[in-house]
Amino acid sequence: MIARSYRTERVCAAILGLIALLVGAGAVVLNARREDRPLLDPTALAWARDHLLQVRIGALIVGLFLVVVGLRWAWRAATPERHPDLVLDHHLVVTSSALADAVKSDVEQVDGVTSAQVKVIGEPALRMKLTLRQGADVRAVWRELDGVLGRARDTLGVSVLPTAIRLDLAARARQRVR
Amino acid sequence: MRAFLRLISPVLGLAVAAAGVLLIADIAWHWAGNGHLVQVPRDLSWTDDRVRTVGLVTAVAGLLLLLVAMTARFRYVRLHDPSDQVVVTTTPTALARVVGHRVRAEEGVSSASVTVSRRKIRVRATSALHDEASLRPRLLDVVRETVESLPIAKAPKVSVVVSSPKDRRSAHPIDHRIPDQSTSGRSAPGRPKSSDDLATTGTEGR
Repeated sequence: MIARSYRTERVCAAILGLIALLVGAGAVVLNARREDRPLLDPTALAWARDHLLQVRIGALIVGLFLVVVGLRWAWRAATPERHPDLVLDHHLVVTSSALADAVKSDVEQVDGVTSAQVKVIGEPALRMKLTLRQGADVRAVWRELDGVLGRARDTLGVSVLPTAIRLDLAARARQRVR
Repeated sequence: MRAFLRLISPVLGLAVAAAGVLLIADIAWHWAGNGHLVQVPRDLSWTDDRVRTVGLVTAVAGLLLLLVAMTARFRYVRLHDPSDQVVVTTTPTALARVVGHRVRAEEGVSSASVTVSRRKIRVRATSALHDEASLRPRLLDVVRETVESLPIAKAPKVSVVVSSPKDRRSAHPIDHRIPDQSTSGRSAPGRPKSSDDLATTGTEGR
């Protein structure tokens, strides 16, 4: 199983965590310093009343931003990853699994690669995991990868094919129990 | 942690969206000439105990969330990019396996454990035949050679420690630094990790 990147989730969670930490710690500090002022500070309220329109519009924009970011975050985390088909022409569509299988069989021909998992994750973009047998010449495999991806680019007629490759080195060969 | 982050992400996302909706609704309600939907008591002061409780809970939750976000990362070792727009990585575990195989294949090594982080490869080998002074340089060369044979973008530093009964018998000063028991104990997966061990793994010796 090749897992997708969790960068969006991580960045969103980190920002939310940081804001919560700062706000919470700030409240605790102000509380500990016995700051005897009302939570709804009269100075701040007076300022907001003087600039009512701007404050309202600003708050609406912030609210809208939160709704958009929150829904996108939840949607991304809750839905499975898309594997889009590649449309070459109006009546010629390469399905994502066909593309993945083609690249998989090509890359498995490379000397030293015992197995490969390939996924199409963009239009077109690839993510693959290659398992190399023990003692495989990693540099040679690494050089041949360029050839494999070049053939894939030529076949698809694209100039760039973003690819993320994970190498699993010196994996123990699976033995079947008889 | 990755699974946990994936699990809580929809909940957090919906909570953020709900906060946004509440803010919009409150402003709209107030703009329409009504009061506020969210009522904060006017006499609530910063010194109130409720402020401290809510502040503490928020800060702790934020810290936990930050920790989850920071630990839910992929651990990987970056290799050179073979061409434009292509990113090649491997896992520290895999790198440790390669180094471990090579070290154990060396003559005189009875067992070895390898710990790999992004910056450093630590090898602990035990040998019944050779002492540290004779085996260590050889193992350092082997590990360096192995690492150089891989197209790693930023070659990690290599450190080798050999523990041998020969050193113990001659009461070498290096002896008490690496007692035999702790070698296997330290390479257990659950051992505490130092902060620069961003990507760590141990392969147990045979």
